[in-house]
Amino acid sequence: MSHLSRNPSPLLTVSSLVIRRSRSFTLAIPHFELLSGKITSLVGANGCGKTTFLEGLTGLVTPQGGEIRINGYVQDGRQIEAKRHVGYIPDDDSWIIPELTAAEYFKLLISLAPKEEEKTLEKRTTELSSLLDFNAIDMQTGALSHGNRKKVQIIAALMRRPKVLIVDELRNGLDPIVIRVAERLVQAEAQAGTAVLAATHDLWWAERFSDQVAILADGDIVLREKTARIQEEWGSLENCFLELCAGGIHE
Amino acid sequence: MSSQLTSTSLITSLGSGSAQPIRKLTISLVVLTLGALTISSLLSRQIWESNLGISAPLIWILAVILVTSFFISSSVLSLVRISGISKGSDNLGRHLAILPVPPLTSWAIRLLPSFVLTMVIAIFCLPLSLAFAHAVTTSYLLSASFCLYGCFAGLCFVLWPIHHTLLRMTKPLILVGGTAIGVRLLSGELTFWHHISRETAPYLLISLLILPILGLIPSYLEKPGNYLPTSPSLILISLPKTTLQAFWYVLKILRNRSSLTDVSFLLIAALFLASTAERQSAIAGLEIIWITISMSAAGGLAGELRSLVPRHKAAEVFSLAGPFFLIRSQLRGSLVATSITCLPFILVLLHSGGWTPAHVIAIYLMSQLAACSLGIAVGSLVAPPPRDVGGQLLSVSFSATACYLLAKGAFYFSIPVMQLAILATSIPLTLLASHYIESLRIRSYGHI
Repeated sequence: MSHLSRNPSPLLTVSSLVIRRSRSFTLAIPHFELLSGKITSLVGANGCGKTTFLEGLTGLVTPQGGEIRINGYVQDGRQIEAKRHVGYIPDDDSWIIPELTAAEYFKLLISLAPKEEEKTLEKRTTELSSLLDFNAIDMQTGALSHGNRKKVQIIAALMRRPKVLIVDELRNGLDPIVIRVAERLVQAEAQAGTAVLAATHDLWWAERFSDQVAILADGDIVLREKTARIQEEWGSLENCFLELCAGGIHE
Repeated sequence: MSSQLTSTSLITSLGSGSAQPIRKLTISLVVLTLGALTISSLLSRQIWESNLGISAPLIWILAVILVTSFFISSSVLSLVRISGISKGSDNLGRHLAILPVPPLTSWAIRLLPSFVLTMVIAIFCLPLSLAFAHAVTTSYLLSASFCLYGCFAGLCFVLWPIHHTLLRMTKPLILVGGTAIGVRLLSGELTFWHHISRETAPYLLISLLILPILGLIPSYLEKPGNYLPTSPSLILISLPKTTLQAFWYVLKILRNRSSLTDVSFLLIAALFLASTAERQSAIAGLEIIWITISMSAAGGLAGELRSLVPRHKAAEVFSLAGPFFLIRSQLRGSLVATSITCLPFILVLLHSGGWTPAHVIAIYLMSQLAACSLGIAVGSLVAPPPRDVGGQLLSVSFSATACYLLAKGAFYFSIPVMQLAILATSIPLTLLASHYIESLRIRSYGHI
């Protein structure tokens, strides 16, 4: 049964988050949330802290301050319950275990789930592999092409049906047909109640794909608004982005 | 702990960089274990058959075993960059950071490769401690227990998570300096601290070696994959931004925390060895042994430097001037590094007066050049990728052994000209072999 309700509940909440990446850059987000069943695009200029933010949400980096809650559980990088509800599709194609074949990699991920879920996860993996046209299951992931590595990452993230899905540049490395399939898969997850955060530089895609957009600038979320409202007010996300991040440089 | 996680942990640390990682893992472990057993058996036989003539209390003997096994274990583990694994900055570490793995399992998985290597080191140390126990007629069980504990304490010492480069570099200083003080305390040479007599020193050392165990706590608390820079490195900041093209590999060594730690560790160990030998007047007449030791150290270091560039498609080969440029650069880099680390040896050799200065300088320079060339050839052959601990250990041990054999061959002849001729002949041969191996690797890339 879908856990989508009429009033979507926040599945991820961020409060007073501080991540110090270097002496010159600190990510400081007072408040942010991801709602059940909604796709939120995260856009921002290069070096504004998108990847740092995503890594904080996944538990990869430890914030220096604040709190991240995933489905009510504190994400401090150690709480197993918080980690269980997060799926992550990274943009970095080295985010694999190159020594393992794709089949071994999936088996490893399945082995971490409760015993009773193993059969379901195996079935889901086969189903996702077929939908994404991934047939290099017995190849070492280190020897896979960029696109096939991305497919492995998508399957790995979606097989567990996470409540919060973090996506970094979903389309990178994929061919147009697989892009469409991957988009449909993510949308299907959202329709089933997953809260999706998709970081991208492609404003046109963000506008088309997401329910709402968050703009990150200088280490802070400067705007979080419904896509339709942005189009209403600025004409397009591009205009809005340039206005907020580049002071209307397009003029 | 899932069997998949366990095998993945071992494969990623000891079987990486291969199309058949399980096979590589198995071969690495078998070769390392057999190598450790063989060398240990040879040394143990000599200790077993010798009459050491030591008449000392049991506690003193146990303290010697403990300090020795601790030093061997922590030195080897430091040199093969186990600290990198324990930090979990590798791919598996990043996965462990986000996957639903209980903290205790995650910690155990990160610890496993280091623990397996500690077992190999224990296999090396155990026969030695038993032979020592036999030679001084003391309890085998107690000796074995103290030896195993020493190896484990060495592992715990290496596990202390230190992120700051300067502090990381103090680790070998603490290790070698501490061992040097320990050895002097046990030998009763340190008289400046009147509270510690030769009788109380073993108790003090055994108590001190409980401290490394505390390293398990911060290593457990440390999150895997947390690769945010916590403190910027003063050394890396103060390094020059540009360098002469000929010395770019030297800068590469300096910029790499692990190789910098290796160089500092070897330098401190060389200082300790050389000063101890000088004090005990154990140089004159034993020049060849000291040259052999310095050759093995130089070869081992040179053999490891190949891991600073990727195994395949190295930008240094493709974007710069090809494989020979890489080899030349490695040679310059390793010569600079080894001339620093092995400096104490040449100083004590010159000071001992056993050989004429011209003789010492000629043999020393030629042997260092030959050892570096041979180390580079072995490094080119094994070509361990960065963070491939098994490959690095193999590369270091093969290079050091090859240099030892070269020294044996060269110093088989007593005429200095012959020794120089053999060492000099090996240099172009090994450099050509390195070039051939690197060229073959480029040509065969992408082919099965």
